[in-house]
Amino acid sequence: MFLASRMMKTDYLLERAMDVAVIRHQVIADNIANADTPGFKRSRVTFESQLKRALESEEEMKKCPRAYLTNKKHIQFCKPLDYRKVHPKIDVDFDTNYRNDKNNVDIEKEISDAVINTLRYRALSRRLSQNFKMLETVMQ
Amino acid sequence: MGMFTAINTSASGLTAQRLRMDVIANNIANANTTRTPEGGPYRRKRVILMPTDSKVKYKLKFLPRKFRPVIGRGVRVLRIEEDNAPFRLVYDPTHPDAIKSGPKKGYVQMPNVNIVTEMVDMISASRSYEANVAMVDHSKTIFNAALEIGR
Repeated sequence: MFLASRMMKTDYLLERAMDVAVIRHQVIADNIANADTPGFKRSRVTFESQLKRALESEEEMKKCPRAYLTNKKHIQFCKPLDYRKVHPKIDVDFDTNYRNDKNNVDIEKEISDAVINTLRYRALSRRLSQNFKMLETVMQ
Repeated sequence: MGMFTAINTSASGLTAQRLRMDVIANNIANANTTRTPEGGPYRRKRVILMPTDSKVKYKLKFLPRKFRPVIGRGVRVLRIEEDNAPFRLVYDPTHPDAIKSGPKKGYVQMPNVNIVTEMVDMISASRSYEANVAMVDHSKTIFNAALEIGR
């Protein structure tokens, strides 16, 4: 009941996004630590696009006509993706080479990704903090 | 996965780059050493780096969970290797280590250290070190932001 409320959904999404930011930070740290390792291929984390698709599928569910189910083997026309089941995916970028030693870490890109990631994390944590403050106001 | 994995990963990078710097300093310091305990002139050393997780990474798109890529744990030094490039020959018959006989008589074998290469490597190592320091800084910012939740 509590989890279904809109506020708790926001909190859950913020929490997941912060988890992913930490994972992405670790991946970037690994990429930078291996910036001089011959043959190393950089990794990246994809999460936001999948989450967006899952959330949009919920919206599309409302437009979708409901099927009349008479047998338990029947299925609905549309099935929403569960945003709770979206997990961050780590991909290794095998296809590019930036240098002659087959390493493809672009240090400028990694550093700017790290900056973006840090700012995103700070924004998310501030948002979460303010959500808790609002909850506190309601409870008083 | 610990809380400070990112800092440990960056720390492995810092250690590796510092070792690279030490080895480069040793190469430059020995750029004119003609006598070593092993005999012959000094050979240039270099550092071989390798990712900490040496698991094979598969290119396949749909893999069972066991083979999926995981977060790397940074870099480690595999070994310090000697460069097998030929030595520089400098003509100096009065040098005590000059070749005494044969077609190369009067030449001195100098180390295969190229100062220009060492300087370029040094700049590369120091920039990589700075990048790792920046990552540690970002990790600190992230942890501080997490501590501010609920204040």
